[in-house]
Amino acid sequence: MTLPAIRRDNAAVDIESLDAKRAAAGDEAAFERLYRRHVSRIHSLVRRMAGPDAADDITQDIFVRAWAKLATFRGDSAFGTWLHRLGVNVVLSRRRSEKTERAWILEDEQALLAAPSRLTAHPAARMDLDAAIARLPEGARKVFVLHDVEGWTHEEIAEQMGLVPGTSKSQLSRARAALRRMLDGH
Amino acid sequence: MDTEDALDPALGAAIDELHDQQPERDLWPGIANRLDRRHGKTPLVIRWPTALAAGLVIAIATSAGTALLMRHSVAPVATTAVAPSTATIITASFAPGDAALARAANDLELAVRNNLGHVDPEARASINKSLIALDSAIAQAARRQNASPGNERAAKYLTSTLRKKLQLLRTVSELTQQQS
Repeated sequence: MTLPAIRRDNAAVDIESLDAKRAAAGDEAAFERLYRRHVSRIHSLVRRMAGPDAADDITQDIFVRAWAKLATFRGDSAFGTWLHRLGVNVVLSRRRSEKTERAWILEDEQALLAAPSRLTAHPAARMDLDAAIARLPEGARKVFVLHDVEGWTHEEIAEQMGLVPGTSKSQLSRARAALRRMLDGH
Repeated sequence: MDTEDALDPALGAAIDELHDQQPERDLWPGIANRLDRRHGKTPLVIRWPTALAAGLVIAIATSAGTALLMRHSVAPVATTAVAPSTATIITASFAPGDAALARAANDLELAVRNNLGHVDPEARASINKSLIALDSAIAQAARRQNASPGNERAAKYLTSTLRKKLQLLRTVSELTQQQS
């Protein structure tokens, strides 16, 4: 990375930090700038974790929640990191309110095992990864997105989702196997 | 077991090619409509000292406004310089008596704001500040009453705050009429 690029990055972080402070003080224009800067990242995260149908609604929930919780953002991490974590919490809490993560992870087992045969029969055998992720059962999809796309550890996923790390690992393994089959069209 | 150390290269390459996408529609208007304008930081509770503060603001504003209005004879100012109207009290959930007070305050506020262009800028700013403080207190009281309709204290607070606003507007109205 060149020096000017570093300076640009630092400047962007400074501006973002300033906007976060302004937004925390009630500056709606500053919060809109933060929204514009992060909406594609958050929306993509939500779309992959929760599916495209609910992505718009959940993304809006996340930003409304962020506005309400801005006072708790102390700048220890980048605003984007804080927002991302909040986003994951919102996605997971929506399902958590209906059923425990553990309960529906176990229900996913059967669906995950059945996924390859359903996909083999699908006429569009090859598909892009986003479309393939959307076809995964919910629990496996969330584990795969958090681990392989977002870089979380199994321990972090387990803690966040109320699982044991072994369950997270087995879900990831099956999700990867199903995705490989979908992408290969087998 | 397939672990993070054994990620299939083809799958890894597909993950690397993932890119973020904007939502198909602008989600901001829906978000902006849902933002709590009181900085969105604190739960909806009435801070009772606000009532005292609002009372003080009224007293200060009224006396300062009176003094300024009596001291200065100023040229009319375009009404476009007036701060945005605060006459937007939600009356749907008010009790009949409070709704009547709110309607009276709204009507009077519209009339007062039409005359504020003739008022000294300092006095005008003071009046606007008072109205904003009162509207904020009214909004908090209304939310509190909606959350717990049987709360007599909240109901009394709402009524008294509406009365204070009406009283302030009457005072300002009389002063501006004397000046015009």
